[in-house]
Amino acid sequence: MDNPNYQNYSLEELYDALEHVNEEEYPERTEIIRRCITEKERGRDASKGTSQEQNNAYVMTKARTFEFHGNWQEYFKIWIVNVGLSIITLGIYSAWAKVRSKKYFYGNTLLDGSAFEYLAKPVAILKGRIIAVIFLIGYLSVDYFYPLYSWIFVVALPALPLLITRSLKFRLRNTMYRNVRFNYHGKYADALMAWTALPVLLPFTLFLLYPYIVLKRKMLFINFSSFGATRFKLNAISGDFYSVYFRAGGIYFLSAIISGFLSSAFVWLGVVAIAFGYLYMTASIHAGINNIVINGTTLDSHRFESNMYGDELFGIYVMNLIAIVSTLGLATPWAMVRVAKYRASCTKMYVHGDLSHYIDQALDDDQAFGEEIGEVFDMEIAL
Amino acid sequence: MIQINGNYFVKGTSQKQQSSFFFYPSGDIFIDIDNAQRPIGSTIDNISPRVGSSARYIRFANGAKIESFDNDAIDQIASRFSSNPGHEILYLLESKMKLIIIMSILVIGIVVSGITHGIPFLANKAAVAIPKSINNSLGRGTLELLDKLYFETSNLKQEQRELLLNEFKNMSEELQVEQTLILHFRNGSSMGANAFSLPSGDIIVTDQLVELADNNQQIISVLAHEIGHVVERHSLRQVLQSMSIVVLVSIMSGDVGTASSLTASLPTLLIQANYSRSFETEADQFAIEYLRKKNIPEKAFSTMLLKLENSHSSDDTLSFLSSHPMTKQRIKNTESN
Repeated sequence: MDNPNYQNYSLEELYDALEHVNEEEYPERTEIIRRCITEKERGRDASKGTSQEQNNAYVMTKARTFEFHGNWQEYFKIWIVNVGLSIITLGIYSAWAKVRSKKYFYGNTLLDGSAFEYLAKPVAILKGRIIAVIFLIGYLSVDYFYPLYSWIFVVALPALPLLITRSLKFRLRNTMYRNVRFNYHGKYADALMAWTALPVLLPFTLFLLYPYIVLKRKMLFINFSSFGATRFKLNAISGDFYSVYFRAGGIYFLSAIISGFLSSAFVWLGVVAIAFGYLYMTASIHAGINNIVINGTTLDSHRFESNMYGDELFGIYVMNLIAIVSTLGLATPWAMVRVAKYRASCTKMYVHGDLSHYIDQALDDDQAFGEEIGEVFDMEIAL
Repeated sequence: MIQINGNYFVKGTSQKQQSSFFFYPSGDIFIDIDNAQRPIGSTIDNISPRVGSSARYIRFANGAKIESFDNDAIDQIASRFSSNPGHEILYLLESKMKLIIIMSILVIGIVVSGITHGIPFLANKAAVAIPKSINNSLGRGTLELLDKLYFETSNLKQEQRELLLNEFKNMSEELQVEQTLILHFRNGSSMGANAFSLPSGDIIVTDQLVELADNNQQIISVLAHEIGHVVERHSLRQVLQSMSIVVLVSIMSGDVGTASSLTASLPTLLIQANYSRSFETEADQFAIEYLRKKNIPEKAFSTMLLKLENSHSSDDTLSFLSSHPMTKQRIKNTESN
């Protein structure tokens, strides 16, 4: 078999070829590629000549896109069985349903040829869910029937950092990539600032503090997360967060003005305009914050990149909403797969060298309590 | 012998080794290293359940793991290895096309009939079962809260108040209401002409409503509507139904992703508004029946509804979001019955 003329390849192309060649089948070809790389690297080092460069001579950065391999036809079947069994069992099966859903989405999300794995046990989730439902019923009952005493839920404010910390820990420790689990190291005291102290100040700052709080929360999430024992690091400045929120606020303000004009003609047109404005604002915040956080995150010398566009995300949200409402919810799996596909396609990892030297950390057991409570109160914390 | 291709990882490491794996009927497992079959040297601890065509994981007693997408081959291995029968049943359910179609129709059927009939029916049963003492203590504090936020003390003349209180007392006796009903007068200020009831049996009428009415019959029709809410425990039922809807929608909307929260909250809102409207219709019905029994013309109620609508600027185009049915419809109901 003819080998391509590797001598004419650039260094980057050679590394790419090495990555994709099947060494078992083409040992000779692989050897040629290796030789060419060595030659090219020598040539490059000679022209630069620093010792630092020589140490890094064989470390190459490769871009790896996240891929989502699931499809809605397949997920629809999983989803409908989940919903059916959850209804029949009056919600008890929902914990098993959640694990199955998560396993489908994690197991179809690939990075560098390996998928993610969701490890949580349904019983742990069920326990958390039961506690969460009891709390929710208590909360709603007081809110509906004893509104004068709703303030007692202020006591929940200092409990919030605890729930957040537990929830992140549960989620990350139950996520595995290759044979290494993620972990979360944040403690209650770390979360107190971003989730209790700063929010109390919000009304006094006319909510201008909000983007800064979001930054603090993202820092709290990324900087205390680790893959195995290796910590992630987030570099981000509050200015970027402010510009995302100001632009989104501007869009919403504009849609409110348009809505005002339209509603003088037809009220429903005005409502549609403001709803679209709200959806657009949400999409542009999601995309903007997502980009800042992912672009600012590093793991050792590996970087991440996200190119999400608010406009595209808005289009997805609008279509999802229309589809779900008009099919009485049956389009939910289609919508979920679309979002997962889009998110993955926007995200890249720049792998410096390889990902082979991470070591799993021994863990003690933990409950799902925080995560489930958080879900019920709709405080999900997404990356 | 079953062969699968995938990635091999030693315990607790991210070092990936792409290879082929050979599972022999004897239970021996080999890995291909440099074109030679080497024994894995451990036994299978567990095999992750099949979820569609997503990645599968075979874990070994020594902590090593194989990652592979060769789902069919792994199914064969799993059937030989003592696997979890529950997982197989789930995948079987998910792969039967007929079953999926039946399931979809069933789910839609259960959801639609549950929303329109099941949940209201169960909420009604539950509301009746909840002890009276609990129901009567509900909403304690709501009046104080409304007083703080909206109301001012009533400016109605003493005679007028006593007249209405007397009428009200007669009404609750005639209707044989077991609960103690108390009528309150308040200046509604910014809220304008309005009337409320609380589950505790407190009924609040604003000065503006009393002034808006041409005669006492019209006020009585409104009071009858509010008593209807109390007698039929609408507040409690609304809460129970709202909670059930939240649970149902969260089951439907799934557990993945944040984008779903927006698409889940809109349907919830619409259904809750729908429930609220049907309670209003029920209370209207209650009022009309009372008026008939007392030989008060039903016109009293429909005129009052029209007057109330005119006193508030409102728009019919958003009827699906409203907590009350359209006035036109409500008036039509008084005539058709």
